[in-house]
Amino acid sequence: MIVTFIGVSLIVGVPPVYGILIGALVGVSALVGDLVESQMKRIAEVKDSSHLIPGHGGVLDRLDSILFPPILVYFAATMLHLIH
Amino acid sequence: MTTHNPAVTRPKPSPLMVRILSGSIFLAVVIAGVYAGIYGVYALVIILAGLALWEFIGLSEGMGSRAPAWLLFPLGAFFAFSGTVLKAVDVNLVLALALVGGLAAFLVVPGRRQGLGRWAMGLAGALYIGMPFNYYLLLYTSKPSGFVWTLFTILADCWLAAASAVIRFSPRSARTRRSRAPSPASSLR
Repeated sequence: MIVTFIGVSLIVGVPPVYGILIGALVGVSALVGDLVESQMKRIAEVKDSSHLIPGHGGVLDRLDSILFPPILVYFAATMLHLIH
Repeated sequence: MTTHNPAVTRPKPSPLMVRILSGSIFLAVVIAGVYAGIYGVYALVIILAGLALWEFIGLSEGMGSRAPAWLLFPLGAFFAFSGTVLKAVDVNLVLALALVGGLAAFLVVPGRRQGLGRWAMGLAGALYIGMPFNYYLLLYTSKPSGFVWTLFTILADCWLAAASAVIRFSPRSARTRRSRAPSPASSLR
């Protein structure tokens, strides 16, 4: 969230309030994505989605929290006319 | 003649070290792909989405309805590129084909007793994995500063993941786990 706030508001040059809003969206959606995959694994009664990445489990275990944020970031940035 | 000395063994790296090393390699590959330009990003999407879809098949089997690969992979690939490379292909047409063709196939293929559940799991998996990659590609190709938007969305998530890893591996967290473990006395109760 802090990284997004700094990056978006300073580098891209958008108002800080938009940076805070998008940062919050990233934080919440990343958490939701993590919980969704955790729930799937709990239902499937497995600890990791696979063992492809040593120490991490599977690719899906690493991607779980980054699956949802781009959707919200894209729509927020489009609605705020920050990108087109 | 060689002798094997079991006492001389290489020190095993700690789980945290393995996690940091493999995570750094994974992140380096992702950033290299993003820096390589649009074709690097396409390659990254194909590799990561392909592996994630493959893992989803195993996960869906554990959840009770194995997602069919013949539905999951093409549909996942379509959703991943539906806003960019496959923009000209109508989403309604693909969904209609997935509905009619997918459910019709389960009239004849083995495992048709669970057909509806498996079809739904295939569609859900394709959406769950394909759609986010579509939005990464849309972010990347957006103007102005699409590259910066993509990179910072990934970095912010990685920061969150790193924070959760620190919490998970912290000594305080380990103490909590130990305290939750059943003691011999509690197991007798």
